[in-house]
Amino acid sequence: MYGLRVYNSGWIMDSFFHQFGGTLFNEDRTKSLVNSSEIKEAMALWQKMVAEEVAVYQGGGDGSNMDAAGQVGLVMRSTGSIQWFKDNVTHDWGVVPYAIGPNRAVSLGGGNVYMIKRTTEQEQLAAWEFLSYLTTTENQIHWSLSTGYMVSRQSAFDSPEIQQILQDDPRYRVTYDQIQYSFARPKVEAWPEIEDIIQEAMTRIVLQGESVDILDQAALDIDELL
Amino acid sequence: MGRRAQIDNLHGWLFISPAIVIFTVFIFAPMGVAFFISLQKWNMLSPMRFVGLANYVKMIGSDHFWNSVRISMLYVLGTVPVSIGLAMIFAIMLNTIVHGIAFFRIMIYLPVVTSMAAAAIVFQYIFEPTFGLANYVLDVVGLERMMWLNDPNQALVAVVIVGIWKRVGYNTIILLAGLQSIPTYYYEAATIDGASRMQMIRKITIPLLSPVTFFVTVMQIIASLKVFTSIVIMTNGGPARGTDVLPYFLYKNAFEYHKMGYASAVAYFLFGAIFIFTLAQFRFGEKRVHYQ
Repeated sequence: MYGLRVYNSGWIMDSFFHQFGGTLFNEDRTKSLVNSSEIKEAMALWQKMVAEEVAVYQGGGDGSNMDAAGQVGLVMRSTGSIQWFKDNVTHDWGVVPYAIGPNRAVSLGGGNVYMIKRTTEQEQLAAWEFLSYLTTTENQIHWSLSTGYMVSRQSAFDSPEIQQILQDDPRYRVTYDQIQYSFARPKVEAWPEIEDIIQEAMTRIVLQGESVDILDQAALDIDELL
Repeated sequence: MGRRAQIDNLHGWLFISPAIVIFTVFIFAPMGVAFFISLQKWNMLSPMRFVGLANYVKMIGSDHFWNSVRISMLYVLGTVPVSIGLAMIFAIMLNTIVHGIAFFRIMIYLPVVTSMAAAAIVFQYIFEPTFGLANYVLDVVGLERMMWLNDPNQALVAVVIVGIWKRVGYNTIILLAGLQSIPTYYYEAATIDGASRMQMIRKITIPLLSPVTFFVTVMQIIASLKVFTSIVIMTNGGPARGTDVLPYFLYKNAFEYHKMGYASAVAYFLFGAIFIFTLAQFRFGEKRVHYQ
């Protein structure tokens, strides 16, 4: 049994870093700050917790299995996992805002929907129709109730169905309560590769016990991509 | 050329044309396009920009690229000797049994025809550290439990095991066919001369099997250099790039980082490596091969 399960999803790391006052990039996103003292401090805490077996470093399906089997006390997961927990976890569980470091911060985001500019008008109309369908009040309610994800429309939030579930099951409420502490995810073109670099660094630090100073090299690698 | 010869010639072209068309459309044309792309900077959305050999220069200077080369080499070293050695043992055993050979042949060949994607998912369960079969087996034989896919070094061991499991059947069947083509009178003569079983394996079987062994080795090295499915499903190249073999590295650059030009350059490196490897084997390996 572990107190906490951590893993290296980009948004988990980003939220964690923000709680220590760290950010991944400078204002205009031309330089990586992943080797700042704040982020090093955050990484060092994760490393210490895992080394002392207070926390376990385990992501993916194996990590979810640990949650379901009751092998971890706390885990940081998406609000979209609420329905998964209801379906798979038999012991009693609750939801609290994401708070570990000194500051309150949580990254707000998820799958964004985009339309591509350079297409034919017909394709754009079709895409627009599809996006409109995805975001109807009715579909937003259905989607949120089936997952736990935040609705993306005020009208859906105000709907009797959503208001009802917030009354009946306060675990859904946390999603909306923590909006005031949320920040936007960084938008940089090379993000998939940057995320891999940070994830690799985290694995080496947390799992293999390497020094947090390897983040200096990670920052250089990221700078090259910006 | 006479009329008759002309018609023969035409027939010849006609017969090989399906193969030529398929090769051109699916192999040669993409190879040409890939080379063209390798000289560009292209993310599949913005227009291409010609950059000359910049992608190749960047590749040579990249630590991550050389890490992938190293991992691929380790994967080859891990899979090739064991899968051929095991296949040799299985083939010799299969060659000596009289009854039930068809059954064992099928059993040993099953992994080859099993979908790698499906098998990889099952292997993920097997290598699961807490409940998995692999650690259970280690417990039973009294060895220490391993972290398998969660450890950068052990993950490579796990995917090597899967690679061996997948290929050993193919190697066995080819070697078995080779064994069965060795005429029995060599063994009869050796028996009359009083040779032992080990002597016969060393002096007759292994030399006469060498063309087949050579073929199997070449094919196995190519297959190992091209490993992809098990990696993408079981490890995603991780943890910490511990299983980031070249084909996965280039896939990731192409379809996750959208660096098509760079990925094409890596593809050409991989192609060149396989080509040179194979040529070298023919050059140096053939001297040790005995044809009947």
